Amino acid sequence: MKFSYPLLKKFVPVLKDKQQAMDALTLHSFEAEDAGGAAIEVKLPPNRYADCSGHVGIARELSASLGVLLKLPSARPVQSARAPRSFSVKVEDADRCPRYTACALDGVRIGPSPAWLATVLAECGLRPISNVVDVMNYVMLETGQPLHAFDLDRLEKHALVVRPARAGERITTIDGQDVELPVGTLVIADAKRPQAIAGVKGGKHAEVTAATTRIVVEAATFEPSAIYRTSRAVNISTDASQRFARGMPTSLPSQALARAVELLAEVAHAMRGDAFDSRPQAPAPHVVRFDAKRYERLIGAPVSGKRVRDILVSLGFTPMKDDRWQVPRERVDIGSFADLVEEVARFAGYGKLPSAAPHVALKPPADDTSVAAKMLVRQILAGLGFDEVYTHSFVSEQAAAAFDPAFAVVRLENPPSDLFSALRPSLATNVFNAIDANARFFDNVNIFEVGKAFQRSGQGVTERLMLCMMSAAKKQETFFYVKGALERLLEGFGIRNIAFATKPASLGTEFLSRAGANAADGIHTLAIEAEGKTIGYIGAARHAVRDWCISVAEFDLEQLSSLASANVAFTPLSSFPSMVRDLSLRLSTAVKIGEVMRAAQVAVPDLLEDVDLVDEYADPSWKGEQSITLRFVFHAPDRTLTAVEVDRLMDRIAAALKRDFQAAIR
Amino acid sequence: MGAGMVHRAVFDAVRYNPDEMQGFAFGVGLDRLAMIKYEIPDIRLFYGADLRFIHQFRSL
Repeated sequence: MKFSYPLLKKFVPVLKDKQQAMDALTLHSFEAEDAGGAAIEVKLPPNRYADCSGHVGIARELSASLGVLLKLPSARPVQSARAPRSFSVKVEDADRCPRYTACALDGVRIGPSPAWLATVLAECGLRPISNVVDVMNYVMLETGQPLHAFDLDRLEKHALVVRPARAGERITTIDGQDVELPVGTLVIADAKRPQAIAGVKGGKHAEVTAATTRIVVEAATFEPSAIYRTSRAVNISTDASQRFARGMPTSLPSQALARAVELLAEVAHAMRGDAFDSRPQAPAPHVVRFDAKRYERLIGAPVSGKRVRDILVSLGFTPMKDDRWQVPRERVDIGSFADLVEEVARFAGYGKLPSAAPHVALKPPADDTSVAAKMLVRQILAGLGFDEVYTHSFVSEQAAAAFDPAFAVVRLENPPSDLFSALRPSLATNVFNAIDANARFFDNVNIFEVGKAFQRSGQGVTERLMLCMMSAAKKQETFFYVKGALERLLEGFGIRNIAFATKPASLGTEFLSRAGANAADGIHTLAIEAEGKTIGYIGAARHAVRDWCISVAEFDLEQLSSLASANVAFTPLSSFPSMVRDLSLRLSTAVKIGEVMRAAQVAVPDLLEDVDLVDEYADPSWKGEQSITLRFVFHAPDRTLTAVEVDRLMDRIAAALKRDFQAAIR
Repeated sequence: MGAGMVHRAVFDAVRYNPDEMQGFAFGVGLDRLAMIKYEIPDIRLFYGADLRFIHQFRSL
């Protein structure tokens, strides 16, 4: 909020310069920055609008900071009546309008404001309009209290009614906007229709114009949540609505009204008439006791009674008997003793508090396995040349709609936009967008993300910690790169049994079809099985547009960590050599290599140590056939195998493969 | 860095006795610390997945 330094100086004459004011505020009250020219930008917390949204409040903070006296303007109070004669007020909603004061003025001469007034307005970012309107704004700048002036002669029956809007009511605001009023919106109406959106904005019909001679000035307090809701519902935010929405004190209207009436006399020759006050009796003040011993226990440093008195008095607190203090009515933020402690401590100086090392029990934190898992993933994948990214937890409406309805995507109730309308059911969508964005600058992109994916379950939402790795390259195959990295990663977690199965994986298919997979090349996904449990999927597709090969693997990281095992037992090194044989076969491309290798294991269950695919070949003239070369490693723990023994084992394997797969041995 | 003592109303809300409990809370954005240390001007760079940014920090 902008404040005028010259106006502050009027109230705190000993101020040397703007810098001193900003430093004092920042040190003891609120963050203050130079806003250029004569203005200071002050960061007000919401609970200090009540007392500090006006220059008087800021001046009071400065006077407490600098230990100096304030020079505040005073005004002759306005005499109010239950039933004024020149106008009437009826507050139909006292809950939302706890105090309403108003004063009629006559003989008003509309014209431009004097320079001193216009200057302050400009310094605070407001535009001078006419003397009456400017006084309304000026008094708001001085006291914080928003004011509004109505042209009294334009109010039907000279009546002001504070009531909820009825169905169908509309208002044209002073800046010409036609607003439909939601039923129940608090309005200030005359005998016929709404003339202002209470606490937000005035209407054009009863606005003060060059022809105005009689006005009624309103100074009221409105309940914060009502004004906040209205401001959102009609989509209008003003200096007034911002103050009311944060809570203004009910003590302020009468003070502000008195000041306004005085200034209107000076500046517009207005003569004060009748006045109204819905609550002329002030309620009992709030009293809090200051306990010096408790203060020292809470803050860690003692404070002298004199210092406490000086600080609280300069802040407007009134001392009472027995260390009790009457809280100034504008300080709606002071509730309990702890609040008084803060008032004293911030002026006594937080910087002056002694520092001491904390005394805490030395308890090691509980283990978080997901943290360890994440660190291991990052270490391994970064080492393998993948870059980590963070993407949004939201996906677009378009992406969410593409998901299988059986999957139960979690949609947001109030999405900020179509781009962020659902919680991501999988990481792949946004990781792919990242690949896409980087495609402009790199021919090969390898990235991974660790994050939560979400799914609706019953009334609630389940979150799963997922890892998604994706690799894309121009005209270059990437599937085996991702598969190899994945296997190395699973190995790093101690998973020994890794398998890839042709099981449906809806998440994978959804993603790849949206990644622009070329229908002709097909979408290939395999389920990743770790220790026999399906934890995720791996897949590849050719991007239809860019001629990229994209491969992705995504799996449940928490599930993986639970399967992970650090239990390794040493296997003794054998002193007997292994025997290696190669076998080339020609078989149908429909046969899965994994099954061939498994069949070999079954044929020779005890002496076959390892089977590897070492070569594959497909002649262009062959239709539906491929040639593969398998390498078999035979080993016995207790002896050296003879060539004859190994020949027999190879025959067994060849027979099994011929029989099960119609393989032709080459 | 935001920090402060826990307000009585917070203890009331979770049904701790504010006269018996004291609390202190503080929070610092790790991304903001990194911005200061490495002179990164815009926090959105961390979440934009732009490899031209990410590759600059491979040495860490």
